[in-house]
Amino acid sequence: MFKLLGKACWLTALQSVKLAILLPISFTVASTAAYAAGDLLIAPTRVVLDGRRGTEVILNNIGNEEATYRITLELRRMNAQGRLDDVDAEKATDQEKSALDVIRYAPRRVTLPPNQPQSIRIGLQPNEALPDGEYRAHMLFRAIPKATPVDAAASPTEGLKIQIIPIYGISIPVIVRKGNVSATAALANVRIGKDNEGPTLEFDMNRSGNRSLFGEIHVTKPGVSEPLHVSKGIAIYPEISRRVVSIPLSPELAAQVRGDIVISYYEAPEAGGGLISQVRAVLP
Amino acid sequence: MLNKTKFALLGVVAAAAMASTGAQAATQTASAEVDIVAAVQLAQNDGLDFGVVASSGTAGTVVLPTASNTRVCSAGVTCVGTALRGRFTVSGATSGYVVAINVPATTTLTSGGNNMVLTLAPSMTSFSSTGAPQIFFVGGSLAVGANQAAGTYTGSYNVSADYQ
Repeated sequence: MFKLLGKACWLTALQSVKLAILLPISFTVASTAAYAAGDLLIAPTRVVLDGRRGTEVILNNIGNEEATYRITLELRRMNAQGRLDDVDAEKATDQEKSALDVIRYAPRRVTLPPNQPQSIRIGLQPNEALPDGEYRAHMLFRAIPKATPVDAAASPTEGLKIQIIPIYGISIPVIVRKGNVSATAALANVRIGKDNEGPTLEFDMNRSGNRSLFGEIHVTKPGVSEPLHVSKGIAIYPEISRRVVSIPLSPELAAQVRGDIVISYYEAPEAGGGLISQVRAVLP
Repeated sequence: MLNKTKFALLGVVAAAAMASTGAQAATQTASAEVDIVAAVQLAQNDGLDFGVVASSGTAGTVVLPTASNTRVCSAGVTCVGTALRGRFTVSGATSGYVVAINVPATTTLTSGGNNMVLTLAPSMTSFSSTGAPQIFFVGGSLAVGANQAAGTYTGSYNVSADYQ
């Protein structure tokens, strides 16, 4: 059942007294880093809507001036390396278009003074005809750069002056699950690879089912509970059935992973932390 | 949501203090709901700045590497002033979390009817958070045409820290 967020839900939310404690932020950063107009904080970093209720994401202006932020829904597709590639609107699949139709959010543009948080409410648009499944878009929060007047006096009469404006922001997945969805994963083909920075520990993650999986990778030695390495926030989305997971190996970690190792994929702690899949391998 | 009673404590207290603040609030108000949510911040520390470049009859390139602020100007272009890589800091990402950095491959800078193509490169395409702030840089390579017209060339580029 796809139960949707109506006015009643918002009213309930309005009556609740909620303390949003945003973790973890190092306060030493605030004192050392120079903040520019348009800097931002987003919490949480992932949203899953299973139809029972809507939610909200907090956007805070951590810059030193007033800034206007735009909030958009973007389509991204996971590739075989686990990266999220942009999808052109005209190349979107029906599934992706449905995600854009079904996710409602407001406001879409906010102007905030420094250190002013704002809730972005996220809910669902009713669509009983939508097939069971998982629908996903990526919510992108970014500041609209202020128009800087070109200083005519500073323009070189000879030579090229270059003014490049970054439009920077943070994107988080917004996932909608409707009806019966399930998935399983299996890990295989553990190997040593390399990327631009050096050696990596690589393996394939195979997925089956009609939803994504999300969780943590733990690399352990057999019989030792303390993991050698933990990678959190590792997803495999329904548009792919296989991806490579690549973990950079420091010289120390490279030495430790030799021989028998166990790689485990656990659900995120907030989702129960259950074991999804595990593989044991011997590395040269 | 403006009339909602909400206390958002944003990075002003240490983690231990946060936990105790939350617990106290929960006991004072029977109906209180405490959400502990992971937050992430993105800040720009330096803008990408190629300085001033003079063109000539020969086309050339100006390269600003991600590894340093030392600009490399090929034959055909003369560089004046100082240059800076784009510098950004991601803070607050939970330790162990994998965050991707997304920067487009190219962007076009225009000045009136003239343009130049800027090829962009981030210093990393993803990182695994240690819990400490993570700095990354954006460099690039600017293609300057033969007798590229003088003027102020403006353009923009997108940078995002993406959670999967």
